Amino acid sequence: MSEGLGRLAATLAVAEDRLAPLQSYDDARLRRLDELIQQALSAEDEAFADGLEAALRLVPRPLRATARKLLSPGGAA
Amino acid sequence: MSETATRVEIGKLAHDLATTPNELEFLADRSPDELADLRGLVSQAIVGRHAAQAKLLAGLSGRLPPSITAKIASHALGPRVSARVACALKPEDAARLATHLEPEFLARLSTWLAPDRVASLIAALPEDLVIDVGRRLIAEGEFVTVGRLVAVVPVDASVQVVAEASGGDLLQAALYAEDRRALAALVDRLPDDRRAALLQAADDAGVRAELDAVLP
Repeated sequence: MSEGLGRLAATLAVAEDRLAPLQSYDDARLRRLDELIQQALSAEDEAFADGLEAALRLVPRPLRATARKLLSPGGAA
Repeated sequence: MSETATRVEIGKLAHDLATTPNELEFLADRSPDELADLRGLVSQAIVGRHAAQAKLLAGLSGRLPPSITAKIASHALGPRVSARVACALKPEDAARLATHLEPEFLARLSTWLAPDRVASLIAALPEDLVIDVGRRLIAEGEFVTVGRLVAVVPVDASVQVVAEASGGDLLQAALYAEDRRALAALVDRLPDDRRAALLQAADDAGVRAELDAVLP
């Protein structure tokens, strides 16, 4: 398996053999595909980061502390 | 069908990556099945990225009145995150929330729904809302999402969704349809003029053979 395929597999968190149909592509193409997927993942990260902060501001004040605790990492426990 | 099917799969992958099919042109030598597998992996990575947070947000929404949850969805979370949360809700809770959302927002939200969660969610929505959302999606050219909906929306509702669609729009919806049996049932119920418009559009686009293969 190529370096590009390994990088793509790491981005997708899958075993490299799941990407076997892509192994004929050169590193430049695999790098471009990886960039596009990374961009999509970053957009997802930004949407959640922005959305969570904005959401907390709309939660009624008496519930806000509880909501913040609930939404913080490990807060559901 | 292979070349057209490959183009359709590239279109679906481009949709999930929020990019253009041109960016993925180099994948055109892959088979439709290979591209569908890749799309599944990509979708899993994107949707799974914040699945835990989406579940926490779904839990929070259960503690708030639906009207406030709907305001948070449309004014704070936006369509993408709201779609992830909707998928973490029980379908009946998601449907209850949906009735508090504007159809326009619901249409934008539906473009972000994970394909494997669309069915249970749509099935729980009131039919008139499904029709409204479907028509908006067609007007916006969101045929990847329309193609997913065709597979899960009752055929009576689908017929109403496409009642005033152009031949070109009908063709796009047909090409992106993810369930051939559902598509066949829909085309079988189309009024004569819509069916003729669909066939004419397929002729004009040079994909009549591909369409005939899935028509009743």
